[in-house]
Amino acid sequence: MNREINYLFPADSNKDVLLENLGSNYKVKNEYHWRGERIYFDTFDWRLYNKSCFLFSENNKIYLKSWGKNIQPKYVQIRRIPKFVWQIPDSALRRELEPILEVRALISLATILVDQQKFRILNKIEKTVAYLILENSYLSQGEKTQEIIKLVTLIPVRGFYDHYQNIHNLLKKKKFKEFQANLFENILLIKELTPGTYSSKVTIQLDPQMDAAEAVKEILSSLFNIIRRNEQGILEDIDTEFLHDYRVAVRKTRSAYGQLGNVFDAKIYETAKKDFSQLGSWTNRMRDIDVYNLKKNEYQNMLPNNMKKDIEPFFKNLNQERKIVHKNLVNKLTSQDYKQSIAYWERFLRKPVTRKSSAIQSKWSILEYASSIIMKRFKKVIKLGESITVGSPDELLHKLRIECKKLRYLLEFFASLFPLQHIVFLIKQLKILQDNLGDFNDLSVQQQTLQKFVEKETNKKTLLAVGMLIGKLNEKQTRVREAFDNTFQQFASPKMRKLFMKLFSSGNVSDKW
Amino acid sequence: MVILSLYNIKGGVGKTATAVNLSYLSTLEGAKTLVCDLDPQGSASYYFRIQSGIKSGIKTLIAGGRKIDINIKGTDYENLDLLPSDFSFRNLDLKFHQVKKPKKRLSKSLSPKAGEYDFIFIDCPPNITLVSENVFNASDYVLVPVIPTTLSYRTYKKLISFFKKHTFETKQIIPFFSMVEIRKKLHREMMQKMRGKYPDLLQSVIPYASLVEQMGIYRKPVTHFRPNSTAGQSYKLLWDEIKDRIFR
Repeated sequence: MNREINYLFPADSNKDVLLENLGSNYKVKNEYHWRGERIYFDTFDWRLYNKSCFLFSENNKIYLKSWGKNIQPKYVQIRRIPKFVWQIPDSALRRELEPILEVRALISLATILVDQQKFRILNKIEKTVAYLILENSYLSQGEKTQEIIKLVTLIPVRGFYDHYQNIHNLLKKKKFKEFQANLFENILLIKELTPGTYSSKVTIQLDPQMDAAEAVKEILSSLFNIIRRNEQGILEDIDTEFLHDYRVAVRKTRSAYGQLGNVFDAKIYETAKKDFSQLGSWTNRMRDIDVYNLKKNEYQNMLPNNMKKDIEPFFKNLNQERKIVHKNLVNKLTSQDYKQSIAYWERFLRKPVTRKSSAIQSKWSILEYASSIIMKRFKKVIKLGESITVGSPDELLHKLRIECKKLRYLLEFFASLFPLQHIVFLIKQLKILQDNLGDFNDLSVQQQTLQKFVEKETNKKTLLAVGMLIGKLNEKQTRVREAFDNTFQQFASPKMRKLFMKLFSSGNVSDKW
Repeated sequence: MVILSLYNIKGGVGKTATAVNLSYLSTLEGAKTLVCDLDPQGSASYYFRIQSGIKSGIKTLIAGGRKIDINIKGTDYENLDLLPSDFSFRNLDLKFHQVKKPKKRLSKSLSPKAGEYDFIFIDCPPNITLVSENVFNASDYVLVPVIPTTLSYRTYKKLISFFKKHTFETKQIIPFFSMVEIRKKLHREMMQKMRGKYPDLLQSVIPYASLVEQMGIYRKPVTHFRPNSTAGQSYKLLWDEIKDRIFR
């Protein structure tokens, strides 16, 4: 046994009694006495909690701890509270967090007040053999301060476990009871926070026998929920991922109404098309700017060292524009129009599906409906992809990219209706093709944007740097285009075709359409 | 996890002081660090107020695993542990000769510790022996403190040719000047000469300082008891530059 042990501080004991009891065998040295705030953090999508760890700042340090075994506890000195991982000083803690947090902002979950005293327990030759921490924590809610817990923590020093065992026995004798729970989870409970309540992934459990219209409503509700949950983060501009998740959910919603909307009245389908494509266009420019900012490092790495700073004006320009674009977006998302539209869709989604409201196709079960529609989309992708040759215009690749996206969304929406391992495999294969098409499109848009910027720029050094960048992007695009043929052949392989047939064309459903 | 060893063929060049200070600095950034004191003199152990001498002595390093585990001691600093030295380590060379794959033994013995620590510092005894080869094999980087004198220059050249001959990657050597007395003309000239020949010498320099010698009295890293002194700051700069080279 060599872990930290927490004990509840007995009501009838006090610090001096505790330390006196140790005194006969050990020297106790005051390490520090600190009072202040402890702030617990996680990202909006609970990335830390999902990795079984938690992060908090106190006393100019930030601590990463875990209740699993995969992550070693770490801390680092900080000057100010970081919002993003790159604001944390270079350290083992930062290296641990980088792949977990990525570009997501840290949001404070709860702030507690802590009164903490740390003592070193020294042996005869003044070597530290254990630590004791006395800690009272409080939650302040408005004017009131409520004590959460009073704890004593015994921390062993490696290789000096006999002393640790002695002190543990002594505390037990003095009626200090072990506190097994986790303070962080207690605080989440008090604050009524439920971890893991947000994910940008659509995970809907559908029943194969479900009415198609009902199932489509389930899917749409799940997407609508994501849209709503991200609004506040966009308004406050916390990080780029709120807008990103919002836009993805909007795009999927549009795609769902577009591809599956025929289970509803034509009027619903028309209104949805109008409303949700408007949300797309409202947010396009803001996302574009975010993407360029996120690519800043990548761009700089494409340039020789002495030219890296020459593309700064491009980003300066963008970020000036971003302020205006964000303000406009805030106005739109807080407008009466938007609120009305949201209320309309909320009502629609809440209304139960009746025979009357459901359109003709809806008499099929969702399994039949999903199978046929996926198969149709797959065939379309194959046909379009096969028509693309080395000399085909970029426009065709763009079209194929859209078709693949539609297919991808369908596979995600209806994943629960089919064997999971097959769906995971298909999505993985499709993603390879999508990445190729996505890269091709992104690279061409990036070149256009930079070209536009160049037209107005006069600084020669900047022109040269941006020109060079366009060249590099163009080279990259050529390579991506060259890889298309092979990538598509892989996706359209006989094995894939067979698997699609096996999964989605049973019972000749497609004949019914 | 990164294994860094402090090594020079010559003795008395500031290996132990560097290992003690850099390992301490690494923990201030939240890393979990282990110092392995392979020098039978046990100076690193002494600085950390931990008695030399370990259960099962030399077998610990040969067997590795649990034998290492039970001998590791926590220092007075959070996240900084020590594998103390043992007087029997003076026979380490003989012992390595008796095992299979003698050059890779240490590497094998330490490998189970990889998941537990972010950094392992190995403080090596001087000389070039089978122990050194074990250390080179086990290390990701070999930090070589060099006093800017003619003799040091010669031993450094020997080390480089030894690395080349035994096909250790020379890029894993990170040399830096140590115990520099800048008022000495000889030191200044030698530094210039060596920088010309070995451009990978770090820019940071550890000066000769009595405070470093006082570590023996305080039994603490100078970076702990005088972090803002010239010596303390030099170690800090050295550590930053080393990290830069490792993680860039």
